[in-house]
Amino acid sequence: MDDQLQQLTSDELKAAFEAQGYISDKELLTTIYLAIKLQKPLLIEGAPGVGKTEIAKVLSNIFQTELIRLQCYEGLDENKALYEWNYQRQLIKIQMSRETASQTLTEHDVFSPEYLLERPLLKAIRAEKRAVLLIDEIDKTDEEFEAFLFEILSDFQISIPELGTVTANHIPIVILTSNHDRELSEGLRRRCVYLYIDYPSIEKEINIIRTKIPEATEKLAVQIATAVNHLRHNLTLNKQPSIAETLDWTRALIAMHADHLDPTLIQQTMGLLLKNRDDLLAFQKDLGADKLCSTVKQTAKSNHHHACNCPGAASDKG
Amino acid sequence: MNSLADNIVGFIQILRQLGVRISTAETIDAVDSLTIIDNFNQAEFKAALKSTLIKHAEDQAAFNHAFNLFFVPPEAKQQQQSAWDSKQQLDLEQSKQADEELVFQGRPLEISEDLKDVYKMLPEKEKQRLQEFLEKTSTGKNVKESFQPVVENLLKSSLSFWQRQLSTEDLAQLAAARRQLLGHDELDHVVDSAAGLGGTGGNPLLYKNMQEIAEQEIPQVTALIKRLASRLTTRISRRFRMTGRRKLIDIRKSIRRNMRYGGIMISLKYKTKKIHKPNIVIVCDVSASMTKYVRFTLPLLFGLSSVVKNIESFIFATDLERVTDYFRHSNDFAQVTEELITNSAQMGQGTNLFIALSSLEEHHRNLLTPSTLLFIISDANTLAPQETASQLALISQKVKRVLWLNTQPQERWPQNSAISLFSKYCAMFECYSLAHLTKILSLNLTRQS
Repeated sequence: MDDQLQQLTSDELKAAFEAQGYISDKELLTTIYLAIKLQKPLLIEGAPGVGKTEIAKVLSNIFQTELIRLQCYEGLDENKALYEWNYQRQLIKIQMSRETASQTLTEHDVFSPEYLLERPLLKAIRAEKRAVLLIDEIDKTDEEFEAFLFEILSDFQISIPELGTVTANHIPIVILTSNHDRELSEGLRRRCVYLYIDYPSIEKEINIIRTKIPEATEKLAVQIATAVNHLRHNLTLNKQPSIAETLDWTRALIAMHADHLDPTLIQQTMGLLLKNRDDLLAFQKDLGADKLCSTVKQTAKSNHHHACNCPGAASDKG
Repeated sequence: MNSLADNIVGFIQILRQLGVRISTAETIDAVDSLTIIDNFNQAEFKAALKSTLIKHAEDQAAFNHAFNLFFVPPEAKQQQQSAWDSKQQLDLEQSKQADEELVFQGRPLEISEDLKDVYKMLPEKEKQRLQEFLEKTSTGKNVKESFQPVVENLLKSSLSFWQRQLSTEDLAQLAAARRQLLGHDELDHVVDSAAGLGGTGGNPLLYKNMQEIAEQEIPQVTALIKRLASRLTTRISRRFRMTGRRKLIDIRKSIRRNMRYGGIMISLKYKTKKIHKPNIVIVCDVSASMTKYVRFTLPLLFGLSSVVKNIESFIFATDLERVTDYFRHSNDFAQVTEELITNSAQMGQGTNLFIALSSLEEHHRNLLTPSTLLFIISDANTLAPQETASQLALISQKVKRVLWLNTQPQERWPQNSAISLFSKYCAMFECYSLAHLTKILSLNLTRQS
């Protein structure tokens, strides 16, 4: 795989992303390409549901390697991220050795790799093949863990007091994602290549819908993308609809044999897009299905006409 | 500025002048990245620089502006250069004119460059009025040379008044005028033009000065504040609590537990980090000087109270008034505001933070604990600043941290001597927009900086 990475060109990466159905643009591809080539972690920020995590999955598919995921949460510590000794197994071993008088047990016997429970970071470092390490929602952890993490990301080696230093066989492709809940430290940012993914434009979202759900007619895709875009920009929502929710909505509409949006359908399926009571109330109060439908029809017509005349780059979640 | 390396270094200088933090390691990464990209076109070149130099989403607009102004064909660069030269010339002429106009009996007045910049921005009519005043006093009967300091002080007071009246945009323009330039024309004109473009590309409401917020925007502001407030709800502490799930072994408890089995570790006890919820006390200024910010402060109180459970809110002007119950009992912001305005005796009164803090310390002592975060939302214009500072010092020793959200732009802080006094006992943040609030709430507020 290392040879594969050495010889990788940006055009090949682009083709591979397209083959995986991930609609991307030049900026996104160049950034990923640089992170791979410079062997630096890639820090991806953006609103929830814009396709940050998906990039790691796509990369692991492209390079046919294992995706090792470390899901961060408040209170995550080294034991859960790095390694832990299998205490139960060690105790059983000690107990068994007591009962078998002939067997003398040394410290090395119980602190050997077979008693080590690998957690994602150690697993990525010890992997035989260069793995993709996804550190998801890094902003959910506390600052102490973040400091510990960027130490590991600089050297790709871990000291286990009982075993010694474990150095990475292959430097993994590291993807860190953040929803910007908490400001990350400058130290961590400095060590990473940075990518910000915004919600897609209408044209990009049409492209995503049509790539992911080929059954969707062009008319429906245009109307859905326009409606979601309108909701994101014109309503103050607690949670804006993500791309995954757009796709769920599209699938639901197709299941209902819809080839265009109408107020009744919107009313019946809005729960797939807005998943918060306050957001649904805000939608009913400030916009409503009828108004959304008429706005969508007007905007979709003019936007799509414009898009047909000047095709733009498309990107985002696939 | 001929080689690519020169251009990259120059471009990084520009970004630094625009407030983007770029380390030497990142500069090296940027140069390295250019050796890696295959197709050397503008889009990839831009993406390479952006991904290695820009590490905050909010810096992207500055990067885009600077890139579009700096990496241009030679003809466009020439045009920009001419425009910059004309602007510099105009600025020089204006400064010269101001120096000529601000004289007393033919001698130049000793006025700071800041105030001279304010004078240059004044409407022509106001400039005329000041010139007439100087003319009259210069030629008045029995007006001697020694009268100059008095004239200077009068003029300074007048210009300071105008400085306080300036809008945020004017202040930004003034800050731009005082920005230390790089002394390299080719770079300086980009810094100047990019800074003038401003903007971040995000939600415009985030960057709006909250005194200019419209009635119909209040629901949006409240919703945004509620979203931000959730960041305050939990903080991980270093303390541990017992847990049944496998976390970290609690050696002490495991040994005690297993003594009954003759020291054989049969039953292990685990511990995990405790989720710590800070106690929050908010003291919000609703005096006359803060009335223009009421569309920000009340949604802020409402938003925080509806999301954070253990919160106590107070308003103050001439005295302190507890308002926690207003917010606790209702989900309707309009209703809460109406009740508050009708029932409160504090709205629009004078300001005495000393009395408010004394009252807090005396009557609500139980709230001021080592785990309390005390937020003060005020423009720091108060009576008895010395006494207030002493009281603040006393309270700051009792609570975990005092955080002051100041609605005055930071450029104006030097004009209020009380601010430097208060800053010794609290962490003071500029906070007149939702963008400021976002930034503040993303910091680890429980940690002393």
